Amino acid sequence: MRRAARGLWWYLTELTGELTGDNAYRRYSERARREDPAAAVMTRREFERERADARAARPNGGGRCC
Amino acid sequence: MLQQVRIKTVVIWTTVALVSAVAWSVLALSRGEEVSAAWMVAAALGSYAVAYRFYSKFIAYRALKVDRTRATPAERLNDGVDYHPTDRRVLLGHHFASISGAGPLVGPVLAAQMGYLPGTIWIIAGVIFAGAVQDMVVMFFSARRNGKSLGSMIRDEIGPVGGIAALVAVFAILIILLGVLALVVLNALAESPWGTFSTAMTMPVAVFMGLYLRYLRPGKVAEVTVIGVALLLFSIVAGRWVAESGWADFFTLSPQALVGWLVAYGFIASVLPVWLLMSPRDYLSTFLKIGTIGLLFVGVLIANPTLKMEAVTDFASRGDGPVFAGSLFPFVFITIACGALSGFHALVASGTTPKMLQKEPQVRPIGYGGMLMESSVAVLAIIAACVLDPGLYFSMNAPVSVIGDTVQSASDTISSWGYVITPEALQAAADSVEEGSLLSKTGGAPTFAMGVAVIFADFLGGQSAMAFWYHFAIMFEVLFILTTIDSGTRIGRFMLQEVAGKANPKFRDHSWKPGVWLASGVVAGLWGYFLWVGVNDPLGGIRSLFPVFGISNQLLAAIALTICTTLMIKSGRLKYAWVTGVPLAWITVVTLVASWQKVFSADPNIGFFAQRSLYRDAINAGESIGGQTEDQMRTVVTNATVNGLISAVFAVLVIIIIVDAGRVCLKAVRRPDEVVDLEAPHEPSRIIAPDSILATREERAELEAAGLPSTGGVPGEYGPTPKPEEGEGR
Repeated sequence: MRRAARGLWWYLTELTGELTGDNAYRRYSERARREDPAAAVMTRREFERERADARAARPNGGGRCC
Repeated sequence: MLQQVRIKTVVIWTTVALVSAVAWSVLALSRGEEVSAAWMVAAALGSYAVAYRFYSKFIAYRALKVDRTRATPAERLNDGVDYHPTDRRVLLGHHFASISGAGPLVGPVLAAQMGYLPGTIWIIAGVIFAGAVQDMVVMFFSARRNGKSLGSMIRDEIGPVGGIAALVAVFAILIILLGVLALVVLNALAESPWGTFSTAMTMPVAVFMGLYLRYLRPGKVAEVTVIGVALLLFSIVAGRWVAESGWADFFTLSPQALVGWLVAYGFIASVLPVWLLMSPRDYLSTFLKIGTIGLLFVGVLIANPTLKMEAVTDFASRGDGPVFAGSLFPFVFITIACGALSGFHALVASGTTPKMLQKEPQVRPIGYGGMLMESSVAVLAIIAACVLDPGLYFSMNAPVSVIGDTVQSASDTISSWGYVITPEALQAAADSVEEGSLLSKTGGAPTFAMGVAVIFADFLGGQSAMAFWYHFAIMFEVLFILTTIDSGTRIGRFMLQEVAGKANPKFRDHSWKPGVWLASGVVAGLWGYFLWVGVNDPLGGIRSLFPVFGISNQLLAAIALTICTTLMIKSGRLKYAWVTGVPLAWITVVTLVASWQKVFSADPNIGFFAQRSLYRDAINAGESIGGQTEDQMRTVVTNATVNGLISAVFAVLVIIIIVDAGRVCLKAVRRPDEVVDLEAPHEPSRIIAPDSILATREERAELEAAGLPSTGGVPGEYGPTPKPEEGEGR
């Protein structure tokens, strides 16, 4: 039962993370620190701005079906 | 041991197939008696299971030859942002959230006028042989090309002519789609203060969520979604208080006033930053959808409602139905687009999802499986429409021009078709959900909401909860459509800016405000025009426009299947080209026959130009048709001309694309050695992960031996977050 509940919570947080770009920031920051601990890592806000600009440059960013 | 497993498998699958066959027989053979909706669920789920197990496996492993040893774009190009290997179960949810919208809730409701059987057969057979196949094959070929989008695959693989035709078609389809979906919202909210208030409240709620995530507690998405859903449920309850208070007048809007609000909304939402309104509302609606659909499945099984609609009504063969005109072939197949076969999915299945695939064989659970889930939503929608009394169904879906605007006239007309219903019963239905009237609430959303209310009230709250559930379902559907409207307006804006950028490079700059506002204004104005036309159509906007919408959506599917078939042939899979070729042939015939009838039919109920000359002649002769004023008749003439031209242009575009693709295919068959292979070269995959959602015994052993959690990954390397009970966390 607890296993199932924890599995469900894992699923919800992973899915919401994917849907919102939250996982993307975590992946980015962990990766950046792993590759070079001294590197300047963008803050969440800088990262989001960068991503929003990148998305704005592509037509199908976040397209949704009928 | 192996023998035992085999026997067990054979027994299980034979049972599933038998249950599904029995369910189908019950649905098809019952005449005159009421059938339980559970049979429909059984027929659907059984067919999906068999199709997934056998047909999708055949396509994936024989026709496409998915390759476990080949690294996916996510593995090769992993940048942690767009390209990154994602847990297959999470990706399935993500993909489903991106493909699902209001489409499968609307079409099946309208198609129910021909009875429950034709629609159900098309939803299930269509998804198995066409819709799910399209999604999976597009995803596969896109993954083999580093996640290329549908548009660039057409340009690169077919040529510039097909590419431009596809671009124009996609833009035109988008405009029609937005106009028709906005019309659905409008019909659901017009003159309904409760519904309008609850819907209006979703915007402050979404903005609050957006600000919360940005400034208060960044990243706490699950948390803010829970708060958002609670606020939303509260706003539905509050809607009743508002409707009963002095504020009611403020939220009682005429259809014409709502047009202004909706267009203004679409414009503003498409220029606002995504994080403020669009994203938070997007996941709000995603979770509401998954929750509501799950609850509806449970509801159908617990409440076990009976289908009150006939299996096949007379409208199917006569073609004179009040909801939309035309006979079963081809109009059922274009009315139910999403849920059976949807071209729009090809836009998501290419570009976004392929960049996140962990292993190539996972196109099967995610592409094929995701579309089966979408199809089950369409089955629920047709159930919701068919559990209603047919008299009530027709009173809600027939336009004013057919049934008049009083319960007496509606009751008289509908009873004359053989669906007896008293004026008192019609009024009682409206009272039960605390609406003034339910007559001619066309567009499918109110009917779906009514069906949901009947099913939910049966086991959650009883008769007194009807009104709550009705408005819950209305808000749920409106939420979806609004999300489609703002992301659609945004996509249209991007496309326009791209094209305008060829003339003036400044337009390509998305931070150049005049360009953004101009492009958004043009797009919102274009779909706003169709919305306005629909609202003022004397013959009923949904009745006139929905066929055009259906034709355009299926046309996009034809384009997607064309590129699939071309790629099958070009990549040396000629032997299996029928996998996408047969659905392509089918949907092309359906769409072209439908366009042909819409353009050339001599029946003014079906053919736009026949309708145009009928009204033109009447105006010239100074006569009136159906008691309409001259102004109304002039409107009919204009609308018929526009709709007829659009249907013709769509048909021409699809023919251009198919002919152009045919030329490429013929060349590839004649001179296979001259084909330029645009596939990314094979690189060995190091990721170990199961092929499907559930790992097989061998896959589990493989994961265990490599010390990996059920998510999979590269042994000893960084991967996606594992499920908590398995990994050590990070």
